[in-house]
Amino acid sequence: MRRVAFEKEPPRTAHAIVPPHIFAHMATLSDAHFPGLAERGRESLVFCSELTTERLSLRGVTPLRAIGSEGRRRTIYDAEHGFFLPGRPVRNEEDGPSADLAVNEAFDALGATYDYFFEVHGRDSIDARGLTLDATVHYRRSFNNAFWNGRQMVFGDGDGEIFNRFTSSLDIIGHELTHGVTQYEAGLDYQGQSGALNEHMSDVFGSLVKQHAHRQTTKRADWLIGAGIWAKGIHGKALRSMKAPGTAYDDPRVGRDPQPAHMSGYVETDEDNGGVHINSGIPNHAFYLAAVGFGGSAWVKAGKVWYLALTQSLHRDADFMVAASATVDAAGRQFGTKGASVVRSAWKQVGIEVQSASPRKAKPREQTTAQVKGAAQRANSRGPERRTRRAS
Amino acid sequence: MRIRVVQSGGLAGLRREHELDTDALPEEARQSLAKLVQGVAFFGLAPARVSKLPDMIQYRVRIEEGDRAHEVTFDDGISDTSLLELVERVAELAKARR
Repeated sequence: MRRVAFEKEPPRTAHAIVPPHIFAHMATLSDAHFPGLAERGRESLVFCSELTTERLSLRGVTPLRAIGSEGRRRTIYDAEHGFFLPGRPVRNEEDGPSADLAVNEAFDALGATYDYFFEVHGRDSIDARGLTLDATVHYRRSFNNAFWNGRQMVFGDGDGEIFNRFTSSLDIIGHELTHGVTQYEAGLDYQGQSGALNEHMSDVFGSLVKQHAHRQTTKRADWLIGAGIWAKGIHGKALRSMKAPGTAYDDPRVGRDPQPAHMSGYVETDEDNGGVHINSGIPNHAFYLAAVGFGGSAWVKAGKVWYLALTQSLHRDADFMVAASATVDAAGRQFGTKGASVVRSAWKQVGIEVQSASPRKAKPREQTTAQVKGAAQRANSRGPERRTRRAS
Repeated sequence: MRIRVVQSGGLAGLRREHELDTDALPEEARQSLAKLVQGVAFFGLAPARVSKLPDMIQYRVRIEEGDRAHEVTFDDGISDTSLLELVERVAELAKARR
């Protein structure tokens, strides 16, 4: 359980009674008299989401639903090159297109991401309760990054020398929103292997959002994250390749893509929260191999399997082995022994072996879920395709 | 004063380094940097302030001045934006000198 930075650990109910929007507001504060407040607000937000996840996973309990979840609700803000978030609201669901390209790109990509999660997985927004999707564009000056800050997405314009604007890539926006989904579901700790899995899930669903929007098969998809994001002159096709990790770019100004495609290339480092953007190449490649193994549209089988693992099995401290077991297990439940075999083979090809369960045993599922806490029970209680949007 | 900034992480996961010797800078730039370093009380800062929020760029900043040296690691998620202004300024000045 996440420890919140209070001097004494408060009772859990004390957290549960404070509405998350209070923490969301705290997270935006920048008052010099309360230097730690924003950080504590963000921590508490994450903690709230973990409680929500725990509640959702309780067998037989119907989660409370927020009133008024009526599909896509988006708000785009403009930071006007400053540090303060969210900034000035510039477009919401009722407004027509803006004169600002970045605003429209962010708005449309949030819509495509919402549609992917709702149409394919029956999920109503990142919290499964119709949360408004907020994004800020024009954050800071020439800012070479995009991120999820615990409550919203934030996009820089890029400096034009290394990066173009980050709103130009649909899979990057899908990637950032998926960090929100992960926060509300598995809550994967952003450090080491669990952090690399957090990154991996964002790459998987970022890519699937793009493939779904363009109705691409596994063969037609480019399996790239951030194609076109490099500025003119940088030698690279994208930030990462799920099909061939380690080959996305190679340029003297930015170095070479450091991602391994196999456990034999696993990188130990103190930087980047323990190489979360590096070692995610290993599970990324496993997902690609599983998708190719299933064939057709990647979101139909491989995407479903990974979504089930993310929302029903994985916990904040999961490592690669746990993720492999959880996805093999989910594939077995959804698509039988053939499905489990496709996913098991994909992980084996990246150097992670999940023991196969014997079909003659009384409880074959237990053998692959030994390290995955309560996965089977949760699967029984929630159902794979639970529609969470109210009928309108 | 010598300032070294090592960036890692961010959505792109890029590692970048910027190094500056402020003695080699024009007077105005040198003074503005000294003011920023003083303003954040750099030599009294805790060594690590990392939010662990996804895709934040991490900065490891080392400053040497006379016989003292201090290193601080933080990321884009910190509430104190003056530290972010400091790394932006160092990157701009280092780039201009290349």
